[in-house]
Amino acid sequence: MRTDLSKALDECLGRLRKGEAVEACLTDFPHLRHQLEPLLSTALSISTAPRVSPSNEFRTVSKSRLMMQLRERSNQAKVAKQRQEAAQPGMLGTACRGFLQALGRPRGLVVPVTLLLLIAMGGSLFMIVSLASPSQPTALASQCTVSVLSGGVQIQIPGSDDWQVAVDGMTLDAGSRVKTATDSHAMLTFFEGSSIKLEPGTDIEIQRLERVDEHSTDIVLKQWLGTTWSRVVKRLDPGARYEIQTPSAQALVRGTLFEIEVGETALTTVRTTEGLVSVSAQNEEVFLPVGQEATVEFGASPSEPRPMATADSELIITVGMPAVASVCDPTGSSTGYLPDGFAFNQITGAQSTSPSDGVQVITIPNPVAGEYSVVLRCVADGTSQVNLTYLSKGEAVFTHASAHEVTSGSEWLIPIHLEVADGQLISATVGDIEPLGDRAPEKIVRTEAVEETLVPIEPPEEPGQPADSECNYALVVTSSTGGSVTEPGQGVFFYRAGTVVDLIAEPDEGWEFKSWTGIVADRACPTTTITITTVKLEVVTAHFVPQHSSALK
Amino acid sequence: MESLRYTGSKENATRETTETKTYEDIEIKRLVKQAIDGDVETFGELYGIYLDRIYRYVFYQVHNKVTAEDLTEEIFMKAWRGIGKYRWKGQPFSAWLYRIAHNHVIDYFRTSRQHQPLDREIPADGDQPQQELETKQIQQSLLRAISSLPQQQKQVITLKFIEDLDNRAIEHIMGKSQGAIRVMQMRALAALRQILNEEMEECEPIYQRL
Repeated sequence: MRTDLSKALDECLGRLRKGEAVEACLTDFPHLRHQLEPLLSTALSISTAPRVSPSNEFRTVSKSRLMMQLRERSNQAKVAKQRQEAAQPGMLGTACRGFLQALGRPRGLVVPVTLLLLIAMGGSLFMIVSLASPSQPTALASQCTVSVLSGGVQIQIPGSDDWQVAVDGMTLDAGSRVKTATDSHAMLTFFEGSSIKLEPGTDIEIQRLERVDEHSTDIVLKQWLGTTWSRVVKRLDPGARYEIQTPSAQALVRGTLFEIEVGETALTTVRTTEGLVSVSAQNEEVFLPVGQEATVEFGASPSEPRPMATADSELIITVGMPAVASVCDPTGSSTGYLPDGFAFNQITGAQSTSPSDGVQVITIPNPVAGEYSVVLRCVADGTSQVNLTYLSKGEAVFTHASAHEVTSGSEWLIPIHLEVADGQLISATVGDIEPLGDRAPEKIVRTEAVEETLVPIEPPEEPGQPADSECNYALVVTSSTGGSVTEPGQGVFFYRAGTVVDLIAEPDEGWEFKSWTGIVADRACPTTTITITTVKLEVVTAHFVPQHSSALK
Repeated sequence: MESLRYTGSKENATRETTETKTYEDIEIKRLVKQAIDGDVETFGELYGIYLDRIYRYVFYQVHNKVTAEDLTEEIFMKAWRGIGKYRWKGQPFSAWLYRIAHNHVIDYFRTSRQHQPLDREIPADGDQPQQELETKQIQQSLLRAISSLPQQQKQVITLKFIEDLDNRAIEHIMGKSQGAIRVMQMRALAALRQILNEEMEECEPIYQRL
């Protein structure tokens, strides 16, 4: 009977699939009707349930990731075949020609740029081929540490195709791969102190991690997709290398802060926040100093350097001595200093001046909505001034100032809640300062190499005064799109009270100066001055408009 | 919509459909042949055609969005590595893919991987229209009910009633006889019926309104 029921059910399901009505099917099995009807009803309810689908973001990101991997594998297979052919006597010339022809094809073949450079230098085919297999690092002498800042992070160990859940604090060897989900952030810290932060949807491979000798290190990464933010410890040894390869380009740095973004079509964008970055592709190299960016399309040379787009919004936190500050953002990333001089910068695009300057200024471009924590660790007794400013298109839309009596060794936390929509600040709430207690909001990894170089932050000579008591008033200078402030430049500057600072705004071609915001002497004049007062932080912004817009008024 | 629905009047599907394009069987064969010959870009096109289906199948097995995404990527990498051995033996290419997915999910459950917590809600796609609250509750009930089935019954339900595959394809994917599949689908539907009835007793007003 059960066999009859299962067969009858299967037959009815087949007939329903062809469009017959349920009743017609049940009529043919009257003795099984009372059993069949509920089962068919259940089958119909399942079939009418809406389909689960992957997110569009996953569709896009995963396809890009897959295609890059497949192209790389395909390239390796072709190169391996060439090597086999080249190993046969009399065929080396043919193999070279074929290989070089293959390199010339821009589509479907991902070739690290270092490969092309070696060819130009006349390297042997074998040496070239071995270097064309970047997933086979030459030496595994060092490791890096993974920090899971938020969300789910996965790793792939060398020789395995399986992805595993990353454990915060685990170490990885060269040959490992790390990827972040669409809602996660991760950090890799290398043994000499450099670090790289992975934004959501990022996939990178650690190709080489090697201490060449006591003083120089070799770090080579392959960024398949996504956005990373690197903080590279400056090394004196010219042999030291920190290199990131992408499907389109290669970025080589010595000591700097920079961002690399690899899009779905392998378009690579490199932005330098500090230091100098060399970007190479197709045998051409450009240098990106501070504030410059360049893009590289797949198979093309790097674009000319151009100024980085200024951030639409900025959160600026200034903290006066005797406090040493750090800021943690809603993603779990942190930027700032510790009292022993340890510096860290995990927030993409952020910068922090040293507390030793007397006033520490932390700037965070395009801050996201959520909870922030300003952590204060005090190195002496005194009063610490804390200022918060939210700039939107150069204008201060929110400010908050507070002064806190602190004692040496005390630790505090100030919570800040930001509501942001479409880049606009909706609301900002600053909570009451509270003792830090046992909390450790920052997720940082300290390496031996860095410990040797630390210089503790010195407390001010007099309680409540910064080490340099004369230049402790900050002036933040920014500009809108269409020009820049050339005197004294753009950024954060420190002056003594009473200083008269010259300001000169210069428009770009096709633009004209409109006005200043801030307490300048003449808002309408591109050349003006500002007198520094005892307000801890002043912000001035130069605004520009396209040349024809004023004619239309 | 990606493919013909079970309740529509149709023949067995001979077409594969993505959001923007419908592929006839013969075109799928052409793409598969090119992929077998090593054409990476064509495999990418096949990926786009079958991604949703494989993801959906995996999701109903593991009930976790992140895990489903990871396993789906691994499945397609396996498919690429093995496509050189694929031969058209009367089963559609999709059946071969589902077979890989089926085995990979079994391996996933067998290994000592750390299991992610079950997603309690159907993952939202930003492009999908807003669902009525009550309809969504029924969807959630179905998902919970399916997730509570034994593994093989879950697979039959997913392949037969969600992925619209016929018994021959399911036989090839699961490595079971058609007789065994008939019995599994009967038991699975009976179990689902009982689970849903129990939920209906708790949430009767919702079902009555619908």
